[in-house]
Amino acid sequence: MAANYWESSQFQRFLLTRYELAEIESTHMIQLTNHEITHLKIYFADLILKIGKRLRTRQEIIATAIVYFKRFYINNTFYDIDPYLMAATCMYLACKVEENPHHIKHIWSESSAMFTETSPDIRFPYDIPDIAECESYLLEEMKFYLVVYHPYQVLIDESIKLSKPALQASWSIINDSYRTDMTLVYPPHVIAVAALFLSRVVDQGNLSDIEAQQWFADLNVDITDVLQVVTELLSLYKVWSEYDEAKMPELVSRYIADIAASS
Amino acid sequence: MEKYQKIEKLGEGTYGIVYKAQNRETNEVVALKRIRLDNEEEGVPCTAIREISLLKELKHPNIVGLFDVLHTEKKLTLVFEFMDSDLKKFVDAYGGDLDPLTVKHLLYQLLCGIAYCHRNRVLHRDLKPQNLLINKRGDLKLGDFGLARAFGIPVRSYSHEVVTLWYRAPDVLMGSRQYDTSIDIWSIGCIFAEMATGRPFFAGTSIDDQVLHIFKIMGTPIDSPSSDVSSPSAQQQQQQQNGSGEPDYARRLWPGCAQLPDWKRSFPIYPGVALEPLLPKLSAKGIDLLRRLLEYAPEKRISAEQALSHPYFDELRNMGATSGGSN
Repeated sequence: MAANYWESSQFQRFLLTRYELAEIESTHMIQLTNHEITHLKIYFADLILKIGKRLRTRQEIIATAIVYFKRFYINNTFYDIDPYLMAATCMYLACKVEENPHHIKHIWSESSAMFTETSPDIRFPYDIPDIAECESYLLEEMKFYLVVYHPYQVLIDESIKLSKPALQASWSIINDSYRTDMTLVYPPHVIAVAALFLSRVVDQGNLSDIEAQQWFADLNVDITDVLQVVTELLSLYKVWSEYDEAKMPELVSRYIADIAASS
Repeated sequence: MEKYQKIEKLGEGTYGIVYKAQNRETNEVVALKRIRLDNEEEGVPCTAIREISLLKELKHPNIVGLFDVLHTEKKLTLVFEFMDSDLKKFVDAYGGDLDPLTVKHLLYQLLCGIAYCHRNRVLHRDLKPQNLLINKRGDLKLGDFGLARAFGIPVRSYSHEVVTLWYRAPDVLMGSRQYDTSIDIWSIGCIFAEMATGRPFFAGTSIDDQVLHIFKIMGTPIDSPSSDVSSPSAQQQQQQQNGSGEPDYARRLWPGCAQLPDWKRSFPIYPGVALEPLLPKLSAKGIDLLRRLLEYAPEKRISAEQALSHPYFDELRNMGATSGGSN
């Protein structure tokens, strides 16, 4: 469904402004520092990525699962539904939507194994029916709008023939972008352009200037949005360098306890 | 109290029972598709997820509208726009004898719907008369996206009846997994011929039998680059199979067909038959369009967009009857 982003539910229903997103964070995550908020986003994107790797799914499916996770917690908190259970459930649903279904038992066992492997401090006391039940909350929250567009599709468009290194560099920057909430705020092509731009700064890419200029011109994107995305990516990399996965289970527990205490 | 009052059972879809029902507040008549959920085993069935996710995004006059999804612990109910009939029942109701203009109208709408799907990179993959819904105004809408899946084409439906092979493209029948929009186009060709004759065009009973049904009418395909057409041996073969030396031979050319996984050297060689006597209701333009829809080589098969501009539809354009659904 890549041809039709502007008519999609993603554009028409789920796109938030930066201010709306900031508003949500300030109400949900009041007890956390900005760095902690960013670390939580990195953490759960990583966990979903790890489940995806165990299932050997495509990157787009992992990205879809991460977007579901983010969408769910716009209107809900980690106290409402355990984020570990939701992470597994998002992967389960994304696999079905992206036509690469796995049996629920398989999702459950791979997720449990991954959590155990990641940290002895993660509690995952759930069984198969819990994932099925959680899926129903997730579907309700998203009002059954399930198709998600990703920047990857923009990069592999035939109209731009990226060299392999340029594609790889941009691709992994897009992977990183899911560790922020920019997917909720910017259209996929804006993130794709920002990733390509950044990849050229990092590695003096092989895309000729004329090709690149033509591509940018054809895409007709707002350059201020692109620069905003670039700025957000750069600040992600800065905060990421201080990230320590081992400390995250404790942060999650503390955060959930705080919400419980204040509600 | 439930929002919808059931009126009658309409049938069984690919994964659930379908009812006619009425909204108690607005009196609007709808179709309800009920899916039982069993959380002990699985979440929402993949087929239902697929159908919901696609229909939530696809909005077109020739695609059935999904109004609502009602979700309870034990069941999922999809609320669809109500359609009086489907193409199979519609053709049967006319004793298989639709008038040529009706056939043209219906085919046009079918192509509009599928062109929209294809523009949005969605394959239907299970087009057949039972999945084409028709209302009293004569609007045709694509329904039942539940079988659309990437991993092969499913063989069994919810009620374990075997999914019909009659509308399946020959490349898929012979094991190709590289299918694309062209598989829907083949199905549309079969449906077009069925509307024109009142009977399924290729009614096989197994995969092998289905392949032979196609070959008997369209001729056994020939894997040969077009430069070989005039080679002596090819000429000879042509003469043997088709005494008249008509261009049927060229129509049978399908470069690469012998490389398909389930191609058999032992396939009997059929020359194919003339289509005109089989389809007396179709004009020369109609026959031409049908041949382009039923083109063997998937990459040469006409696209839905191109088919809509075919001269066969000039009559509708002249009547100004091609608006509504063409976008």
